[in-house]
Parts: sequence; C-alpha cells; structure tokens
Amino acid sequence: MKKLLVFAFFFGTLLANWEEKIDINGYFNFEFEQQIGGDEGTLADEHGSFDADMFNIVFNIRPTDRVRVAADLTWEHGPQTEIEKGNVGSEYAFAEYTVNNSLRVRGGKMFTAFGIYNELHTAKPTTIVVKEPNPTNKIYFLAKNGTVEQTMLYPRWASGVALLGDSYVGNMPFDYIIQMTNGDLDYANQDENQYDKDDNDGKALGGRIRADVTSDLQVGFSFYRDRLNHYKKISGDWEKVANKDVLTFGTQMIWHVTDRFRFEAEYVNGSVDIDASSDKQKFNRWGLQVLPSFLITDKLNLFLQLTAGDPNSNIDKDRVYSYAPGINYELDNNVYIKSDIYTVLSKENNSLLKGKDSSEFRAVLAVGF
Amino acid sequence: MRICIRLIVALTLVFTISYANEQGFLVVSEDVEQNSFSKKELTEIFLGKKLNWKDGRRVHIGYSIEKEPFLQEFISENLGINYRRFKKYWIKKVFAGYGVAPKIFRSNKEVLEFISSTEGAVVFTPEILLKEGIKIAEISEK
Repeated sequence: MKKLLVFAFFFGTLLANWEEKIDINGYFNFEFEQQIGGDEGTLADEHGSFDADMFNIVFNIRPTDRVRVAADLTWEHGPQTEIEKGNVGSEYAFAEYTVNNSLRVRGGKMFTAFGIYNELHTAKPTTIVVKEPNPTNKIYFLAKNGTVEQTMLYPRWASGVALLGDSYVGNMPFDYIIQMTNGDLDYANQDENQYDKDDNDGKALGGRIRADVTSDLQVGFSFYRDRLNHYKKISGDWEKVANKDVLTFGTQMIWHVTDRFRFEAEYVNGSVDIDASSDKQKFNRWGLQVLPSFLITDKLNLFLQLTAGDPNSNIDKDRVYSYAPGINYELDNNVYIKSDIYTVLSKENNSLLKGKDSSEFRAVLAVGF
Repeated sequence: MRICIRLIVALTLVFTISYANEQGFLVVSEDVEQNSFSKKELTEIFLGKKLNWKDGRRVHIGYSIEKEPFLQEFISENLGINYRRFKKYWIKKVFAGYGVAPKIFRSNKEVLEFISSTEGAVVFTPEILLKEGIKIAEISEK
C-alpha cells in the first residue's frame, strides 16, 4: 500500500499541469509511385503502388524547466505485426538537458546529424522535394557489390550522447552538434542491435555546424567517422574478418536568393577502408544534390531536383545521375501535395543499375500536425 | 500642476496605446522581470534558441494569428525572415527533434488565458486588454 501511495504521489507530481509539460505533434505521408518509362529491372515501381508510408507521433515532454524528453515514434508502410508487415520504430528517443543557450547535453537514440536531409527525411511536410536525394542519403540505392559499396556514408540513427547549442561568431549566429555514438553495424550483419550494444570498442564521432552568414544564406559543414567490424559468413556464422573505417565529410548551402527563389545544394564525400589481409579494399564515394525552387504563388512551389553520385571511385563509368522536375502545393496549413517525374540514368559499370535508366511518376500527400 | 501632469500622462498613454495598436503588442507574464527586448533577443526567443530566463525558468512563447498582417510585420521586422519561412523553420525544428513549437492563439481571450496562467511567458498579439498579471514589453532597436 505504501509503495502504491509513493508511486501515485510521484506520478501525480509528474502529471501536475501535464498540459504544460507535454506537447504532441506528428506527421503523415501517403505516396504513389509508377514507372512511366525506361528499362525493366530498375528500382522504379513497375506496377504502380500506393504506399501507406508513414504515421509518426512526435512527443516533447518537459518534466522540469531544463530537461526535455523527445521521441518520434513511427508506423511505416502499414504495419501489421501479426503477418509481419511494415515497420514500427522510434526515429529518435532521447533526453536533453539545457545548461545554457550555447550548451545542451543529449543522450539516447538520435538521428545522425549530418547534412540537410537525414534528420528530416521522414517528415515529408518539411521538405520541398518528394524524396530525399539518394547519392547524399541512401548510397545503397546507387550500388550493390556484396555489401561493401552499400556501407552508409553515415548511419540514419545512432545511440549515444551529444553536445549541441546555439552561439555567435561576431554577429553571425551558428548552431552546432557533436555526437559520440555506438556507430553503425556492417551492412552484412544486422543480427546485432547497435542501439543496445556496440560490437566493438570504437565509438563513432560526428557533427555538424551551420552558420547564418546572412538572414538569407545558411552554410554548413558535417563530418562522420566510425570503425566498424567487417563481417563475413563462415560456416553459417558471422565472423569478424577485418576493420572497416568510414570517413565522410559534407558541405551544404541554403540560399533564399529572393522571397520567391530559393537555391539549395549539398555535397558529400567519403571513404571506406577495409584492412582485411585477403580482402583489402579502399575507395572513395561522393554524392551531390542541387535544388533550385521557385514560389509561383504563396502556395505553389516549382522545383528541379538534380543529383549525381559515384559509389566507388575505383570503378570507371559507375556513376548515377537523376533529375526530377516537380511541384509542391500547400493545400492547407501544413498540408502538402507534392509530385515529380523522377528520371534516373546510370552508367554501364554501376553494380546495382548496370547502365539501366528509368522514369517514375511520384506523388505524396504530406500532413504535419 | 497636478492636472497638467495627469493630462500629460493620459496623453502619453493614449499615444502609446495608439502607436502599439499600429503594430501589435509584445506581452509578458507578470513574473518576467525583463521589460524591454532587443531584436537580437526576440530572434533568440522566437526561434527557440533561448530556452530559459536568467533565473532558470523555462521561456514559454506564443503568438496570435488573429490579425495575421500584424504578425507578419512583427516577424519580418524583428526576426529578419518572412512568415512563411518562420513557419517552415519551426516545423523542421520540431520534427527533427530540436524543440517545442510556439503556442498559437486564435483570439485575444486565448492569449489572456495563457499569459495569466503561465510563468515565463512572452507572446506577440495584435491587441490586448491590459489586466493584472500582464505586462507590455518594449522592443528596442539594438
């Protein structure tokens, strides 16, 4: 009985004025994709498919004036666990303590803070484009040679700690974040859980700094490095055979040239270095997106998404290019209809697409709330 | 002499309220010690970069959309961006996990309720009925 009373007291204290302490937001995406031209056997959807892409709830809970607990819980692609469909997960779940404006300390599962899109890639109401660019965010859609070329430039998520904050250089505001985490798992071995237990002693280090050079021009720089275990299956079991070092740098720019014309660009360059005695590999890869957009009206935005990527600098003629003219229409407050024609062109030595091209019609309904 | 002073005070008050009515009000809850904010401070507050007052209490922010042109003017003049970019900034900040969005109010009554019941609050509103528990703050140019 005493334990029950103590529990009720603390629970009641936490929830006193709960409406001031808990904020709930979220977003919803519904998509359609249909290949409209090009070769068979590409990544384009040859049948035309509706995708119950995402329903996310974002919680912000502030139990004290300096502590915030944040979580983004996701239900992707129509999950039905009974029949093993879809995905349920947490994009992030962390606690953050504010020391002052310039220093906050965070711990938990986080998005890897790199570039423009990784922290926003699920929240489609936040981006102009239909989908984030593959060369800078999903290198595994550009390459497939066993598992090495698909090694992420940086992992989507990470479990660890971070320092972050806002400050100034002179009158120029900037924000920064530095993350130390368990890092990623080798693409080949996903039997472990890197958000629970690291599979080696090395910790990944990454970070980003963004500066508002003017009120219309923001530039940024990101970096990420990690040492992964490189696995191979030997007699049915995953065995570590080497270390795999990942090092990635990125630069980004968002420029509001006028009130209606916006220009965005991001370039990412990285390396993979495997020190196996029998399977030594080292190569660079890079990805690029350029995105001009123009507000025709306050609601209607036209854009042209251009990307290019080279998944392995040691292989000639393996690059992948894409272009996607599209529209973004704000149907209602934070409700967007987006659509583009996404054309992918690959060179003949590309390990995944093998010189094939495709064009795809894509449309998204994205709602933020 | 007293009549002159009272007349001067009354005229000043009328002028102040009339001037403020042209641009809206920055109102703070009574417990907020700060009575004047620079544009830099307003930018830090309304872009969620200043999370705590000097005494450590949380900063609660909000704005009224009752007369949107006033709000657009306030954001443009003091934060240096237009209202569209301001909304986009916050939707990205919230969904990327970097903060809690400002409260949005649709009426003067909602603003009054919030300011009266919330410590550490600062709200932009196009009009306000002064009452106990609410202060109007000045915006300085620096």
